[in-house]
Amino acid sequence: MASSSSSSSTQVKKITLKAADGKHFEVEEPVAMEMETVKSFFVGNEDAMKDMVVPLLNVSSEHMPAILDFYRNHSEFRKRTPPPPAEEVKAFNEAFLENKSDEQLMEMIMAANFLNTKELLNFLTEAAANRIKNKSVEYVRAFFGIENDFTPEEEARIRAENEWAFDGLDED
Amino acid sequence: MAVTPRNCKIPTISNVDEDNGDRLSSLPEHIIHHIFSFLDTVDVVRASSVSQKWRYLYVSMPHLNFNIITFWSLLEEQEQRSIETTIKKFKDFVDGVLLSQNCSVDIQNFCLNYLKIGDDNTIYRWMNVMARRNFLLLAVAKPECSASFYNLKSLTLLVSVDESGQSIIQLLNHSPNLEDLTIIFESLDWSECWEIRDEVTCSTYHLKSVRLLDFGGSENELELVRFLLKKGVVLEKLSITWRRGVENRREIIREIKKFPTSSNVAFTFFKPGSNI
Repeated sequence: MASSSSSSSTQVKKITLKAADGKHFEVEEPVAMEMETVKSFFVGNEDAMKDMVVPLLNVSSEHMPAILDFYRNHSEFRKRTPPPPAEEVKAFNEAFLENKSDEQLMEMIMAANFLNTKELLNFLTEAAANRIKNKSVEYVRAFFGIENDFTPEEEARIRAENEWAFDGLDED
Repeated sequence: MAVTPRNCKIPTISNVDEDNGDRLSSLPEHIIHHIFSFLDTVDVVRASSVSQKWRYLYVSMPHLNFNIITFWSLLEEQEQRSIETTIKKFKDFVDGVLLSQNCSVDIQNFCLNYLKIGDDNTIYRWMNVMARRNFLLLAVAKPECSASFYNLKSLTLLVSVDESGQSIIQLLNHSPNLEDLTIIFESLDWSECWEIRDEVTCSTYHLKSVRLLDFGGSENELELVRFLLKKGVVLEKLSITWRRGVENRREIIREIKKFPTSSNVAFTFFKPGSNI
């Protein structure tokens, strides 16, 4: 993708990231450095910056474009003066989550955890929380993909301990 | 345990896909805590019937959010819902969770929204339970074992009818390492005027940020602001979100800015309803 033009001083340095399935992503250095995991890869090893491919073995290439998009936009929001209106950030965040399935959301949480970026992890975990807020136990199980390993008696007993907590929930 | 990416220089593969049945088993505990930290403790307790693994999730939660409003809405479908029964159930619930909390848990957030009616001293009792637990822990357990209030960095408090500012100060004294304090004021009338004497000791040695929500500028609220500005030796930020319908904001701001401060404090004032 990069043209073979002479590297002018204004050109942003790129870092190549390799997703779990081997796909390469060229990322501007400041964006890549949003990820602590990538950053720590280079600490004390600045020479490695050149022509180095950083393997991100826990992140599938399916989620890389969205994750990079989040970093790019949010680092831009942070730098902008005056700060962007809350509605603009909200609109971006909502659009970001819109077509993501529960499973994709969980995978991205794992990726954010692996990449060690607080902002993205906070954002995604809050989104997950919103999806299970005031939902039934069955719904929460399905959301996390957990098997019910209680016997019916056990489950009934546990529910009886906090009976009231199961009233007045939202529809699944 | 899954491989933790923290401090690992070279990313490694974790064998997440060994069994694809339970997506959660691949989620580290701190992530589950993180997700549930945004929810009410009621949601955490309800999740104890999800699976064996989650049976005692609430026992190890480092974030506690007790909100009586949640109770009020949960009890909506029950026939004899009254303020009294709601308060009673809420008390039983908070008692149950606090007493069953694992003492070695490093509590990071403690949020309590409680309606205090008459001379109900429950709130002090809860504080004492936690304080006593810390004390026991410090006295009995290994010295490096951390006690909950000592680790409390962020506290949100809803202040409703209360006869003195003492409870807030008492809470601050139990949380010597607190950095962020948020107080939400209830718009009910204040029964008595507070006067917080400057000699009162108050540990605010780490308090960096104070947020006051639904601030109406009443004498008691201003007295608390005055006190916190005087005692907050490392206070950096004071942000105030106005309650709706406060007319004399300018005068109140002027008055607040006249209070002596012990550090360089940045003041911000927000329109009613803004949360940040």
